[in-house]
Amino acid sequence: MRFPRFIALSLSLLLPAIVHACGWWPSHSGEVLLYRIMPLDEAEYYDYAVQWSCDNLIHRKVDYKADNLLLWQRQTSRTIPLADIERIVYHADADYLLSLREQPRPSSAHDNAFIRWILAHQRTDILDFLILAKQNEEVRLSMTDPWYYDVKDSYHYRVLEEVVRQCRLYTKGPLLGRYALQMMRALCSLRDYQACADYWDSVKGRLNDDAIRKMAELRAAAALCKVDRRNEAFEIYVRYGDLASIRAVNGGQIDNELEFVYDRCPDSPYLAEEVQKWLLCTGDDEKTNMLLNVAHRAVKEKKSHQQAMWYYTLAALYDMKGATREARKYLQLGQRYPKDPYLRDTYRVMRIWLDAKTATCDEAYELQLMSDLRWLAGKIRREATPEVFARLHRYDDWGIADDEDDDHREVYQLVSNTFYWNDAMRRILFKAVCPRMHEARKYVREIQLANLAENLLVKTKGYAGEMFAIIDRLPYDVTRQYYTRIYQPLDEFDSWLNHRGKTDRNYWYDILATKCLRERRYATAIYYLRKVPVEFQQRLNVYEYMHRNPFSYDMETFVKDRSLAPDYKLRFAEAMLQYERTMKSDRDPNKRADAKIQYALGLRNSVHKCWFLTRHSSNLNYNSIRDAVPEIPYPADTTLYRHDEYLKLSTRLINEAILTYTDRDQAARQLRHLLYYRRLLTTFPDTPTAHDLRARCDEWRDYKRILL
Amino acid sequence: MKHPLRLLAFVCIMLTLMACADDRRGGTAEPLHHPANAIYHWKTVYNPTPYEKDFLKKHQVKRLYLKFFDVGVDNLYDGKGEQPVPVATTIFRDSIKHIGDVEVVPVVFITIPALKCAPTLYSLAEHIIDRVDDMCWANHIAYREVQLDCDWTRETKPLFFELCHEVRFLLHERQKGLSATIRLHQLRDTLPDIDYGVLMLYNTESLVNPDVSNSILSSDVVSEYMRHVEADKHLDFAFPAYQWILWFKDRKFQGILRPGQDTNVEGCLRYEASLYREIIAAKRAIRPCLKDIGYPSSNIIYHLDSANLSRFTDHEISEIYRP
Repeated sequence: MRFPRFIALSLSLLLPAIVHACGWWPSHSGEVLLYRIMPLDEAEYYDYAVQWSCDNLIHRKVDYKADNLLLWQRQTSRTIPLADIERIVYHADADYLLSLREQPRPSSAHDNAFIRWILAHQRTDILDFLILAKQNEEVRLSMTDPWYYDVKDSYHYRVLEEVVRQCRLYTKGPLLGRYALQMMRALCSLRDYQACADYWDSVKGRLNDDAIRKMAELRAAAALCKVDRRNEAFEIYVRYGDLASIRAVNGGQIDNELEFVYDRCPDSPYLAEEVQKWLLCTGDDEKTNMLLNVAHRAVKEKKSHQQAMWYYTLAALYDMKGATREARKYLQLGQRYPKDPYLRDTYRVMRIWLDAKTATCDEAYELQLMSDLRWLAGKIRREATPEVFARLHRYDDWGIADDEDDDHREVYQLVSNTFYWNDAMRRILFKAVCPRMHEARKYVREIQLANLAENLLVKTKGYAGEMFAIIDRLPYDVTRQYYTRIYQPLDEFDSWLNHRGKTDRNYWYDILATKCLRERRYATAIYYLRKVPVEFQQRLNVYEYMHRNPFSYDMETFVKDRSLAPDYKLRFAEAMLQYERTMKSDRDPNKRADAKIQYALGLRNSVHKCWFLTRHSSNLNYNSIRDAVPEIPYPADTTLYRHDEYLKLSTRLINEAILTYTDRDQAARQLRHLLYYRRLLTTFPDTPTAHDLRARCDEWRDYKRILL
Repeated sequence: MKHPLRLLAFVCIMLTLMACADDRRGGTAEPLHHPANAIYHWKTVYNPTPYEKDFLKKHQVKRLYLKFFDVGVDNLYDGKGEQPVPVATTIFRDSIKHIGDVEVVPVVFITIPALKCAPTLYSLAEHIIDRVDDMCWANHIAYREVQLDCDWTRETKPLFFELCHEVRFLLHERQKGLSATIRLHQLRDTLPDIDYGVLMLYNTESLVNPDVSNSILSSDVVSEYMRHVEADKHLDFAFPAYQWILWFKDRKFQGILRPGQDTNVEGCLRYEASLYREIIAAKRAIRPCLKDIGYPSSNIIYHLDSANLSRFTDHEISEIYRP
């Protein structure tokens, strides 16, 4: 099932679509997972056979890459940019380095500072090491290819054995740790775990305490597991706080692994990803309490240097429990601890969220909110650049790229990280700020903020978003006030919001007209609808339904009359206005009665099979959206859309009309159209229509189709 | 003769063209293999029982078609999406040396999704041949040909044919040949670019059909197929020697039960086995024009499994193998 390239047309369309692809992306703001201490990096990809669960989430891996780059910088020159080191150490291939080794050009001929430094200082030992390491890694990578078949004496084995041989020759020098690591990796790939463990025993006392040693020690632990020295491996994993490996080695014997690791390695880099995982997997009270306990201990004992993370965790957990005051307290306490730029930003998001939940919507709060939204909007725009959208264009709504078959990973990363800020804003505005504004009767502001949430990133084309869930609840007059303030802003916040919301005239004319139709303000509706050009109407998502006759006697059949569009709504409004006038003021009672019946039919159909006259989305699609704004008591569909009210009114008008007729056969004909056969035959038995009906059938209800 | 050199050149060109034409008709001028009793090995572990080894010896089986792996699809999450990967690779628990001078023909089963999602069929061909090479090298197998097995249909035929073309090209570069299994329904079509085919005279009817009495082999069905078939390439013939129990419930197929499995299930069971008389009848039903194209056809038994083979007498096996 592939759809055209549309995925990034709008975020509100994108996110629900992705739900199908990967099973967990929020379909509305109520599902946004707000709590973040780190970006999400990878996911266990969607498996059709397995329901997604939080345990399948994998976060940014601890790879010591940053530490390794810094170590290279220390081992060469602090003036070399880390990016240049990364390009060579992580991205250059062995052939390139070999060519440098065999035919060195002047150092000035290279655009990479790391290479320039190596050549200028004639550090061929570094080049030799890098070539060996690249060859080692290339072969090891190729051995993970599913087409690889493990053959002793193969090319792969020969390369790895050569790596081991050369590494053994390097017994002292500045690169000892690096050679040791390469050798241990090669030995493990050769599945000579015993040799790897033995080598580790012999070399560990000579290695510096740096990132390379850490990587080598973790590699050693893997080998130790294989040679039945699991206790030693376990000790290493505990020392590093490697939760996943502890779990693997210990077989799930530890009840609270998080606490276990915190106790033994409070600064474990693995803790953050575990905490993040737990924060995403909300809903498990037992887990929440376990994490709460560890977080409380962490902020009390101060053993960990990640105090900001632990305070954020406490704030998130209390917020989860609905204890907003506690949440604010811990967030505030955490503000003073150092944090990386990501956590600094998520702290601010959390603060905006907690403010919104407790705000009294006064002027001071609005000023604060404007400042916060300015920052958040800037953040959103900086993250979700046109390049990001261009990348997303390559995927359809199942996360499948046009040119690369199936791969959800990039979609996952983009949606979960790049759009997180927009998701967070949507949740803050829809779930907290708008309800507060509603309570404070600041309805215009409520619409403005909903408009911002819906349309900041991409101007939505559809009418099924959460903004419509909000506008739907509000009467025409309020919407009209909002519309006025688009062009006559009262303050700076108005202007700022107007600039970022969707304020297209035709869009709002259609919304206002639709609300008028729902409120039976047909003259006003005509005023707006006359301004909506046909091209715009054709872009409406409900345009495809505008072939149903709104004055049809039949409630359920969907005869398609394509001549009804364009100007479908306008024609309807004009007809209703005309019927309204006729039924009130025509001198001929039969004409008045006819008009009343037509008016009653239009009223009934406009909330029933022609629902798109009075609203923008069908009930079905609204259910999940309405869940997004549960704080506000929400009227039932029938009340909101006046469904039952208009059906009752329609029936009353028809009854009145029948009594108004002076032409008995005309009344009988209307009853026949309305399928009120019994009434026709009892009230107007002597009319030609009644005679005809009796002549045609004895069980008239059964012969409805013949009669028609 | 004014231009003797031109005449010589003309003769050379004609000879070359004739050689090519011969190659197009039916494979290499030199037969890819010699007639021999043969058998399939279709298990994921190669560890023949003494009975099976003895069977090979007793019936002078000189060729073993050994399934090496299937090519299925998987998403490796390397940015390339769904891609063909080898699955169900046969594990060698015993050495091929222990069956003496039996030629091993590596067989690779290609699934249709793998064909459809291969980035290029040339790369798939390379992967297959390289892996067969590696497996043979690791297990001390000197192979002379590779066989591809695929349940292609008219829709997927172009893909499989292109794959055969690529694989055969790579194998010929190595002085090796390519064969393919041919199902009865496939025989109604042209055959792929192979050196020879093995006509599978089993699974002649749908096993999920509750009205079929024996889906493994029906000589009547074979006869029916034989009415309008021809072949432009050499064919060998594979006959079934297996049995199974099919489980139906409310006329709907539920699954296959192997002999020895618990048969205490709700519904009805259909015991099916390849019957000697049906095999002989099917042998007789094969049209003469399908046999011995280029060189004598061989008979192959599917497959090497003592539980199934022991149902046949030595005489019956000899009759199945009889050319």
